Amino acid sequence: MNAIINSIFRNPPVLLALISAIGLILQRKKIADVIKGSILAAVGMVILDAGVGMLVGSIVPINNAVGSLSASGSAAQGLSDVTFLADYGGFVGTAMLVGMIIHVLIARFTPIKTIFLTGHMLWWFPVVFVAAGVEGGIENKIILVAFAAIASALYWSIMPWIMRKYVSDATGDDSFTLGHPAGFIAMLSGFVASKVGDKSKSTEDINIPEGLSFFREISITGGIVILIMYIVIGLFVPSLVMEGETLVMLAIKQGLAFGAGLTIMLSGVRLLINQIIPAFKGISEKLVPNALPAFDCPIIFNYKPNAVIIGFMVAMVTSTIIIVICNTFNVFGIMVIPLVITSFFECGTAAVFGEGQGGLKGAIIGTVVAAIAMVLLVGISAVIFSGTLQNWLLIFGGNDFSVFGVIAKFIAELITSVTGMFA
Amino acid sequence: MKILAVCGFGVGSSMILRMSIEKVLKELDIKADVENQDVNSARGIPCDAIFTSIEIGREIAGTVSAKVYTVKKYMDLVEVRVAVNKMLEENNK
Repeated sequence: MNAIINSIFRNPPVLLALISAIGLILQRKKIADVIKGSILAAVGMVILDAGVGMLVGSIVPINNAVGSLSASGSAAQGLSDVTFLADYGGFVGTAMLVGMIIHVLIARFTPIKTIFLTGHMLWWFPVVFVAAGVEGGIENKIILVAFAAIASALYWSIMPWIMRKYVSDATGDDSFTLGHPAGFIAMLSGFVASKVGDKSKSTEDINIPEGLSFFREISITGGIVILIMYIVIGLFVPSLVMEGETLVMLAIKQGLAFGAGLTIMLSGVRLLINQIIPAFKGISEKLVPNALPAFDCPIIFNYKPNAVIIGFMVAMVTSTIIIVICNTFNVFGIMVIPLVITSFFECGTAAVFGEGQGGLKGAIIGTVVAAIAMVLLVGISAVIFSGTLQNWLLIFGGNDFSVFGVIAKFIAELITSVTGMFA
Repeated sequence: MKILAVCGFGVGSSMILRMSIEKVLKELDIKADVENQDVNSARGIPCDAIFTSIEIGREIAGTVSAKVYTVKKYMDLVEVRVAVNKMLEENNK
């Protein structure tokens, strides 16, 4: 029996198929739909793995090339982003399920009545917290799952609840809140904007050229940034280019791989989460009828579309300047790459919060501060998660994954030392 | 009938929109296949109608053959109902 359970946990697609089957049965779907849905979830997990592999594969050579320059070289690593998900995906899935149950119980029995409905974040938070547990040395798998489940549930419940004032100030609507790891840096932006801003001129009063809106297509923007990154690094570190290759072709190849990896990863997440979220929404609506739903950040983008584009551009410029400074002086000991995804989603949210507190001026100054915080958070968290999610954080970090991931890692170390005393 | 709910990533907010559309269609007792997608993938998928935000609607209109309907508040059933009714009317013509 133990062997069977163990082998399921080591096969994340199978475990996630089982979790989805439970979700679909609870929705009273037909047998055919249950079978179809659970297989799709398993396929989604396999696709997600492949996408993360491709994404990470497109940025690893940059850090390897730069790492080869420093005398110490890169330290031996036990795990990497890809092997981490393959080895621990089953525990992540379990932590997600248990965390969702705790999260609904918090909404049912405490005054904090948020229900977190951003599907892919219901997956990524347990990923980050399981990694934090592993980095903190928790070896007992039951403690590891419980740790990640509780940390995720607390995040899903409390963070959107704290953010609700900023959301209603920005949207004029208090029927929902935000469920997105923009949290910390977006509120930082809102706070700064409330001090320095000026509400008399809004971001929505100015005209933004329509041509700029292609930035919304992140796989394209991301690919272009990776291409530029390769060319710049390649000029300084010729060893990036293998014999028989040219720098330009390598840069194009890796830029395309990044765009493709992102698209693949997203379709994997979609297949996985589509089976689970409707069930979760249905159950939570029954158990917590007066809950405050927490939605993905593009929901608030619709209220201040100009602020989002301004925020993205301000964040890209600010963060790239800070990144160049940090990389030049080797502040983190690893190469930080320009953060396209975080600049768009998290800093876009930061700009919307800034607009809500302090108009155009608040949005710009708030986002500058948020973008600086983002780079520092990415660097610190990527160093701390060197044995698990380092490369993944270099692409998706700089937000609450970094803030609470790092905090969770230190809590995990405390747990390890306390349990170690009794062992 | 096949309907796409589209957002930038095709994962988070389009899922909310999809659930709202499904709820409205269920009220109207209409059978349809609703799928959430990102902007790029949506261009390659044959469908009868696309629901999305005003900004993405501007981006995608003209690059797809299906009619595009925009919704500002994805979770607002009243607004989604108006858009769905508009689609049904235009489809019946």
